[in-house]
Amino acid sequence: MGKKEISELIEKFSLDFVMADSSSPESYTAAAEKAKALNEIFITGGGEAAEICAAINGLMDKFVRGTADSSDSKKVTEKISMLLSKSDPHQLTEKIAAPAREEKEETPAAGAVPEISTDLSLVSDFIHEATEHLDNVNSKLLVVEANPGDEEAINSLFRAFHTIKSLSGFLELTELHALVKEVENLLSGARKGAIAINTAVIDVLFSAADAARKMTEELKKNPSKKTGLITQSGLEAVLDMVQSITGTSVAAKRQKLGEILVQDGKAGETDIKEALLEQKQTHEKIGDVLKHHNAVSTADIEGALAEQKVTEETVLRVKETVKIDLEKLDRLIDTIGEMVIAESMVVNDASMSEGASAAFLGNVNHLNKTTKMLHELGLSLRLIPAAGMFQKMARVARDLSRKHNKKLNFVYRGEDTEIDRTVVEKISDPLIHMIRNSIDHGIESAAERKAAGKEETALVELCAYHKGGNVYIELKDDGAGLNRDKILKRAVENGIIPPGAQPAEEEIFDLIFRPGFSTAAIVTDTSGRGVGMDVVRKNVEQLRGRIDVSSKAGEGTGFTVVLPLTTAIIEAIAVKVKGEKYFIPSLSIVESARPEPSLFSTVNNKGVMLSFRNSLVPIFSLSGLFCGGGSVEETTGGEKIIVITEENGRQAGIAVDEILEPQQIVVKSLGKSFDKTDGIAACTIMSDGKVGLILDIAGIIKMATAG
Amino acid sequence: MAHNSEVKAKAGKYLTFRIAQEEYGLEILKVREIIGMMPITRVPKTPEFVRGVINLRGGVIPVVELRKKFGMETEADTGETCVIVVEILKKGEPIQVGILVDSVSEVIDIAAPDIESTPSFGVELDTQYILGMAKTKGAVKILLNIDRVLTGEEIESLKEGVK
Repeated sequence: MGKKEISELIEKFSLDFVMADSSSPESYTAAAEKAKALNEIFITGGGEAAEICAAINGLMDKFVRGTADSSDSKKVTEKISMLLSKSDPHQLTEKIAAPAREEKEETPAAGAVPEISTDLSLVSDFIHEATEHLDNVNSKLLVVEANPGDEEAINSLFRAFHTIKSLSGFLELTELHALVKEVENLLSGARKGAIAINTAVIDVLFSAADAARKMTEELKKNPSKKTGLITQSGLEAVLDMVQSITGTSVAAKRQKLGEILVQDGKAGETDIKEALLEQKQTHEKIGDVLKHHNAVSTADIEGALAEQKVTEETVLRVKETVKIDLEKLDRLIDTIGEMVIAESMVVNDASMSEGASAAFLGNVNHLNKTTKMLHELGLSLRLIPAAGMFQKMARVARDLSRKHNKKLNFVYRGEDTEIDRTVVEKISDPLIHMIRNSIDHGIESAAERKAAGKEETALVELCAYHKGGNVYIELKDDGAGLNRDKILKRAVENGIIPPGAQPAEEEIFDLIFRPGFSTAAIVTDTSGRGVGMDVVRKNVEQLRGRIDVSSKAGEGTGFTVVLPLTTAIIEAIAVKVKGEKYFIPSLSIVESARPEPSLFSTVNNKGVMLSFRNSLVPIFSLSGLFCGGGSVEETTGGEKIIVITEENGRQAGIAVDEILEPQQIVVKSLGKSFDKTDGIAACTIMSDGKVGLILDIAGIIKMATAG
Repeated sequence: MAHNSEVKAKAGKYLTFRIAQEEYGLEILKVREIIGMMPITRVPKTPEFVRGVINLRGGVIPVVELRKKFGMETEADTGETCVIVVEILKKGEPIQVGILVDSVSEVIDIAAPDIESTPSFGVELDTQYILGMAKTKGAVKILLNIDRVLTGEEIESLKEGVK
């Protein structure tokens, strides 16, 4: 048997062991068989490994016989990691050194255990794995909530907590271990059917998962901390919640049909009691008994049965992925970008056009194609599916709807849509705000909905798709819609629009993105702590995207966020000012023009305005802002081209000397030595290898108006 | 002098270079690489001594013109003008900065007895950028405290200047 097979066998063994159900001895048989096989391999070699294997084998016997306790489980995990920690198990057999004797099974080596448990790489691996499992728990909990009978999902939940339990025990994270152990007990009960999954249980599981996640995050900040990851009271609170379910597990089966009917006022308590008495004799289903008595209508029974099943139905899919160090990935993408530039420098070299052989040109062409492919591939590495983000949103929506006591059906589509990971990170919070606004203020209460002739259960839809090189994220609800009149009234109050003005519908809705326009104050009368939509728009614009709103009174509100596929590459237009080339992101540009001199007007002979499509737009001169000067003459005189830009809903014109064709550019940070460069957002490397600067339009407007 | 207790030139290897007929030395451990002149992109609203930024294999680093930094007359770049890329610590984080010099001379070993502390020139000359003076081969070399030259108020002004 080769080295590879041996390490595979060890891994298989540890997997079987971890996956085994601690409450059923039979499930350990697979692991025990592998332990035996390992023992046979190593026994001939003697030494450290043989001792470890013999110890494991002995312990596994205990497990199969069902006499093992939790300390044995810990011992086995320790032994496994001892075996695994040596890259080559064969080395173990050759080392028959005296110090190895310390690691005998009976006295779990005093020196060895702390050494393993303080190993930071183990902690970091644990954090990684635990986070992954907790993510999985989150999505699986939503599945179970939608379908409490989904055994596969419950098993998967159990496995996740089980793994965290084993690992945390091994790392001596006692608090975390205590928590997940309780959760595991609960899930073990659920698997056996002793505990029925209902919303209360799901809530507890969510809180427990959140607490576990918090502890993991705390551990990440402070990897050498073993305890104190959570406050004692915090831990006790969660433990109490979990234990309250495991403790009362037998009594608290899933909510009884009768209870639901009484709760909904569909049947009187006495009816149910009578029916229950009768049921004892006839052994009929409680629903049928009630129907015979004509106490409850068939429709009501069906409704209650459906409720028992829980309405929310969201199918979740998690894609398999490979773990890669993020830093390495970024470096790879950077290097590919470098190669693309180097390649273009070679291809554009002057000597290429003179006397290069046909074969050479062919080879260069080949290089060019390969580089392009590599480039595209490299960029796609940054992309991740929206599913993870959507699951997070589903969780947020669920919690909010429960908090506000609103019936909600949260649906998402297009979770396979791939989005740049930076975009995902930055768009999550704005999306949460929007969903919160939707549920807080957009959706009416069940009674109001009923009165308006709508379904009581509100619908909130989130979807993502690609269109024309951009990513679209849409959020729609079927709530009350934006209150046009209130927005208008508020805008007049704030002096944003003159009284009596009749702006178009879109313009009114666009006002909610203005700072100081809390949606809460507009859409409902409740004093909301809702974050203003201006922050959302700002976030979106930082990603070089835009956000639109549409709404119909009584029918709902829809937001469309348009984002570039990746923040790493943008489309920009190169402009020239005094011989220097600058790039303006295409998304900020409304249009460019070479206006008649008569269209310019000066203010105090200092500022310049341009009448452009019936509105006055301030014009700034780049050379003026960047190089000093910038007289009126310079801004308007000669062959100046004005690029009209829009940022934060404000238009401004920028005077440039020349405008070049639009191109895709790779965005690079200006480096750490410049923390703040007003007017410059970032830079790019141009095809000649020189650095090109990308203008920050918002910053330029700020600069111009401040100075 | 107050600086003596604080900064002291250590014996070791130094990279020497010239600016306006004067020889300067730079601790070799700070030097990442020496590159020939390449196109430099001027960044608007930065202090005058910042010539601009260059593309160093994909990284964008600022280039500081030492002549301007030291208040000397500037001259047109020659074939010998080059950029020494140094790594300095800014707020505990290593950053790379290029310094523009007239020409690079050599790497020399400077022994401790050859190093003298910075003489006081009175208030006229700011000597806080200087680690010490080295006498080698009959010439005097000014050993620069490159962190001081490029950080502190320097980098501050890199930030402030762009306002």
